[in-house]
Amino acid sequence: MNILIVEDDTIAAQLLQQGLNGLGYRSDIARDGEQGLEKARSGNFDLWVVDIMMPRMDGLTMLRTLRGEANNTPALVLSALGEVDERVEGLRSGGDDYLVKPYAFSELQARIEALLRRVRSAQIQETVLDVGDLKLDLLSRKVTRSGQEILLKPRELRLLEYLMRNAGQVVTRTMLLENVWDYYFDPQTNVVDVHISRLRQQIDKSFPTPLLHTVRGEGYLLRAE
Amino acid sequence: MRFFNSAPVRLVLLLLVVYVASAGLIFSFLDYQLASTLTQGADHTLSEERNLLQFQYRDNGTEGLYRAIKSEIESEGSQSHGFRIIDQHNRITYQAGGLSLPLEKLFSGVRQMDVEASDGKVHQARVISFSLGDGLTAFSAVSMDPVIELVRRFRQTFLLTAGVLSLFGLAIGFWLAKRFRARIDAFNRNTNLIMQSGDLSSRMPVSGNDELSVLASNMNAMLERIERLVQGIRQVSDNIAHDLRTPLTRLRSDVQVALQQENPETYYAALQRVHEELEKMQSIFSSLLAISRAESGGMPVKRTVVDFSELLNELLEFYEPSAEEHGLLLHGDVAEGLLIYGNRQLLAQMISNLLDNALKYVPSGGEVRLAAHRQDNQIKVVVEDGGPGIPPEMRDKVFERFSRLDPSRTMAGSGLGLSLAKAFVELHHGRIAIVKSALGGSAFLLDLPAA
Repeated sequence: MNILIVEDDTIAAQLLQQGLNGLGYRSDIARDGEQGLEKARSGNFDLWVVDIMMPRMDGLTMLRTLRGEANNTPALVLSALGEVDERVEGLRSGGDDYLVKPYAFSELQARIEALLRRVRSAQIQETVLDVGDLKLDLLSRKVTRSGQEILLKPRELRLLEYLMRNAGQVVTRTMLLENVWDYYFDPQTNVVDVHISRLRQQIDKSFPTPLLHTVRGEGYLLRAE
Repeated sequence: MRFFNSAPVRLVLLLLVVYVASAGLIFSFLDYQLASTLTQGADHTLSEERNLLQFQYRDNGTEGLYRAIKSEIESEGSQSHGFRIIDQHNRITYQAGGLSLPLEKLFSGVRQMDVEASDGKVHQARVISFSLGDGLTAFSAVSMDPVIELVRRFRQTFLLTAGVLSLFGLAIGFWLAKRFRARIDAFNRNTNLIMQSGDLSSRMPVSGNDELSVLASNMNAMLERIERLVQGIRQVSDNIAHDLRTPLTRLRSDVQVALQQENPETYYAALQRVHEELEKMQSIFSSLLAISRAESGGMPVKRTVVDFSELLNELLEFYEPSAEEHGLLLHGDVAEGLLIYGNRQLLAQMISNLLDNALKYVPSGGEVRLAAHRQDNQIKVVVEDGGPGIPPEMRDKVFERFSRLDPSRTMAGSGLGLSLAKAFVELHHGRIAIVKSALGGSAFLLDLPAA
């Protein structure tokens, strides 16, 4: 996997590169939007991580230009601006996800992995998701584990679907809030955790091997052992 | 020179100049009208006389003519009149009256000329000449001196009155200007005092209800608002100092202790704690930023018509498991079809903060209720609980940043959730208040304009 980092802050770019190296990704750094545009056009990247505020050309202009050229490499927009509408603007300009600085590296990692996976799975039109003996039929919206049907409420189904689509990868609370409930703020109580433990009751309780795991300080992970 | 820099003094002088100039204009017009009317009157008398004398001569000969002249002089006064009749050889055949006319040929119309009177004085006179027939030419003169005297007196009276009035006006004007200045000076002294000492409790003197007093009252209202804002900012910065100093101190000692060890596991544990603390501090900063942005209007908010009923029901569903976990009964009573023109995320966060607040403070076994309905053009929302409630004197305070009912600040929470909720309510042109709930605890009442 090859990632393009477009970021004008040298230290932030280097920290990001080190972090990505640690995860086994190769990466290249561009210092502003113009350089980013050039590298994105010539290089063969699987993902762009793009800052918004940069000299010469900002990240959103760069993304709009590339999308105009039918370049559909997934892009994660990073920005110090945190307001809701700036997020909408970032996504409208061609970003596939939006993360507010300062961010936890684990959050960035989870989102990068989700984006890369989304691209891979987009090529296959799945009708059934499965993790171990857990199955979700996307057409009939039926969930079974070891052939036993599990009845879920619509929102629980959406939560499970998101976890299953990102199976094997850590999913953060923020990602769940954004993708399952469409909330772009963090509730001050552990609301998400409670939803997860309810879901866990449903899918794990009466089975010997747990599938839904908590990754302390990071999020949740759905994985067959 | 300082005197002429004063706005009221300049105003007085300007008014005076305008007054004198317009009075002068009116006077010039009257003066001209008076002089010309009186001259026309004299000319008219002269032409009447001509008609009379021509008539008398034709009917009654020289006898009648002389008699008529005498009676004219008697009735009009001899000093201001003069008559002369000459024959075709320019010999004077008759002369009467006090004005001795110079020798002239017959001319047409009325002429103005200097004429010597019998007392030696030179008069300005209107003179007419006409033919009587038989080679006789008559000259008749009437002195303009009474007219000139009248006009002179008129001018004198005017100048005197205008002069006295100007002086009077000037005196009153300067007195008013001085009074005005004194009040302005009082304002200036006060504002300078405030600027130098920074004491915002000082106020402007207010007397009566004229414009200056209104200005003073407005300045006082502004000072009061500024005073309150400054107090608020001081309060907030004190709180920030307190709320951030505590975790910073903890961070520092944690790191210090870890550095004294040589155990990677201790490092790891310390770093994890540092990370958690930093996250908390970061979220405090984000909330503070969001509150100030919302309050200052610096937040760019995209608004759409939001199905508020759906939003509330989704939040009820979102919070229901949490409430159950806390041993609380959460029930909703949301009318259908409530629409608000606003931002979905901010509206959701606003209600979410209120529900979080209830979840945090209501003890297990309690009740939380979220209800909403439309009344006229307002959407009335209530988030109420059967918790310990908020004492009346604290009900406004809880919306202030970092305010917590528990003074020792041992309970969880940043003390920013309710401030944020209030800021978002106001961003949607709504109001929020706290009353006692029928459930026993506090009820947050929201009024939001319906779309």
